[in-house]
Amino acid sequence: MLNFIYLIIFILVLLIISFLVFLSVFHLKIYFNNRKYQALKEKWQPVLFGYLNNEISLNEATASFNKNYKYTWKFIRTYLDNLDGKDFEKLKNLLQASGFIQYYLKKLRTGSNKDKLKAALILGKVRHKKALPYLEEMLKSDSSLKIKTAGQAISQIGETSLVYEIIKAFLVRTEITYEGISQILILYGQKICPKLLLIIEDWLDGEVDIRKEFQTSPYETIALFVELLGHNKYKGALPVLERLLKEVDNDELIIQIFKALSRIKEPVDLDLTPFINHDNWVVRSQTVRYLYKNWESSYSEQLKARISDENWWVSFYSGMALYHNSFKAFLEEVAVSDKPGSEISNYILEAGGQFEHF
Amino acid sequence: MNIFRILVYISIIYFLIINITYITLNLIAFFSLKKEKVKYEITDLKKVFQSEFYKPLSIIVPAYNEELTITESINSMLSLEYPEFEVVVVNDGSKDATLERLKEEFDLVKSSRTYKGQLETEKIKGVYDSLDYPNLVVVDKENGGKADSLNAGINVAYFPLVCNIDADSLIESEALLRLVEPFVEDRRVVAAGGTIRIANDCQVENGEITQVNLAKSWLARFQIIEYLRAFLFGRVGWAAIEGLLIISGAFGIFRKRHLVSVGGYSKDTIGEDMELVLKLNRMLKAEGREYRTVFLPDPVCWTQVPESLKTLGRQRRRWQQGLGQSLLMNKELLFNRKYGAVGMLAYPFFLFGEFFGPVIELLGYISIIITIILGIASLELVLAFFTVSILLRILLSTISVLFEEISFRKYDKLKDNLKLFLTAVLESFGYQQFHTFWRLQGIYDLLKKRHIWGEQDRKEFNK
Repeated sequence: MLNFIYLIIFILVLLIISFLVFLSVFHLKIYFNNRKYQALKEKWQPVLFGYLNNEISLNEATASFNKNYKYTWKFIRTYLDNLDGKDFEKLKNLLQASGFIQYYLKKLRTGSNKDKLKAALILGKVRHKKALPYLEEMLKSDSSLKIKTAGQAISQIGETSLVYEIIKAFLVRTEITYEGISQILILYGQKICPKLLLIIEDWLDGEVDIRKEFQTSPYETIALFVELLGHNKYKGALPVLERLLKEVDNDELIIQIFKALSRIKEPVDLDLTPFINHDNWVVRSQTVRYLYKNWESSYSEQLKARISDENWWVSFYSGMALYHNSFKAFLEEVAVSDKPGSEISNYILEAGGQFEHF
Repeated sequence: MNIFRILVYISIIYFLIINITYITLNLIAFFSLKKEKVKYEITDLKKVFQSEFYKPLSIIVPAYNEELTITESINSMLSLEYPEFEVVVVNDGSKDATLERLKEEFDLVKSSRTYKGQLETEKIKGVYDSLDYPNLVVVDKENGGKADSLNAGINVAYFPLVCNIDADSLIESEALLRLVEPFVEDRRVVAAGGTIRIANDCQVENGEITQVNLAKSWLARFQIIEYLRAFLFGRVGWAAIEGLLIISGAFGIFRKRHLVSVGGYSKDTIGEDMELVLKLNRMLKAEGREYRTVFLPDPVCWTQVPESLKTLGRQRRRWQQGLGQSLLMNKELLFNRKYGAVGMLAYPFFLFGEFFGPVIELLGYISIIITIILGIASLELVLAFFTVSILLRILLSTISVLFEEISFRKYDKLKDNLKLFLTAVLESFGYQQFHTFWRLQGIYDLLKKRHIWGEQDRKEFNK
């Protein structure tokens, strides 16, 4: 028994000493790696700036960047995030010529899980189309992190043929929220909008069963698409949004549609009266807000009536719409009266119709 | 004589179970940290700022007699990197000049903000807005304790996510972005906790830690080891098996609607942070909801820890008392399969390992001494057994130092890491025994229903 305990003591002491050695060696390794990176950074910075300013040729720049790819990534990450247009394309050419892109393409194909994730992130940022088949494969994984990273990379590359697959993978095989999906899909920019419109139209025509396809609520999913159309201020969405307003009776979706319309800033060819008088105050407020942003004089009388709405936001946006569209006198009249709406009129008049965030 | 023999066997079995659990948690934490590090490297926080699709956040800062650090802390919070947030400072009837310092520094005026009293609190005397910072709100209320202040903050908060931060703490600039990320990535997440690190002797400028230094005082260093152990393998390990029981009151984010639906923080315990997580587990399971509470090892909140034995002892007594109260208030979780890892593993471990630990440790010491006196076991065997127990403890502490080095490396000097390693070795000789004593006092306080006040001697951050 005693011998056994002594053996355990010996093992424990050995483990503690080996941890101490490991800690010291690991620390020194990181220290020397950091020093190496600092030295490379000092060498690379003038080369990169010279290359971007056309003072150094691609060949000369390539000679500096043709190895140490892990450090290259650390160095160029900020530039990839912040450069655009010609500068971005030049940087991409440099990375292509230096073998950096090939190196990570190989990692994406044959690397460990960690390598694949990192490679997907990098190739997405450099928008390298040859990565797409591997990213598409990654999208089929069961790992939420892999799906998310692949989806993000494809969105950055801007490959619209995979929009449907990305949305399906996110909604069916991950627990990612709608905000999370939006954060990723906006990386496409306006390119994604025609694809989203197609899905919405197919749904309206009964050709796609969203609940079955995406295993989620159709209204919430369509609301997500509408939000993205609004974010991209996509004018081509107008007919579909009008059709949705005519054919769909779902408060959350209607709210998203008016939010999107407020951003797109185009007049809708539809009678808004039912929405101005809707039971749900959020629908009312978003409709009135839309009219504040896209004035239509035919609704001025209805807006005058809404200034006394029981909901603060509805009366506020009605007042703002009237104030900014030649009805300041009406507000002044209400303000001095004892009619409902006098308080909000005073509030808007005192601020001169100027409020932050509205 | 047989009784002592049985007690010795019980102590040995207890010792084995506890240490096997710790070693298992360490292994789980190791793989979890590896995964977290990959995630950390590939997470693109920039995308949050590129879109309006983020979750706005209310930071609630309860403050009681914080005149020395309050303006530094609030400035630090106001400079955090996050697209949309508000800071709600709740002055809990401070006896010092906390409110005056806030008024001077932030140009406060009476606010017209309306709020619902969804949670019952002590009377709110006034709500103030800042003329300099539109996202700063100060609530002045009658004294009611930390839980009451947090509840008042929840009432006043505008946004769907609520983050609690202690007034004497400093948050790293990207910490909020990182801590909110799980709420975006996974719709089931209801609460997320970050790591607390020790700021004693660190360099602070404009409310931000600019240089991480190892604390000079040995007492603070021992606490660094404790915090590393608690956060880097305790919470990481438990969270990985869905058994997280505590999200530190100093730094955690919750969905406001869940906080309101469980009645907010309980005023009947001084361990309100742990009690809240236990209560959330009970409520969400009862509702049949799929949910997750997560812990992230990197978003860091820096705080000052006591540097005197007296203050530290008082704090640990309170913590032990709070632990006992929280466990008692949620006893239906114990060995209840309905609650999964929380009921079957984490709760029993916290009850028998953390709460009753000091009692069993004391009984072990006593029975071993008596065993030697009565000649049941040889002195050599007992000493060898003691050595194993001390070495195991040292091993676990050194692993946490190692975890720190291979994961997020806050201490960048080798000298500091070696000092930490030495601290991990020395901790078992003296400090641990003090700690056991304080925890025993905490249990005594709980039994006697004595309430120990936990006011800490504050000092300004190093400039």
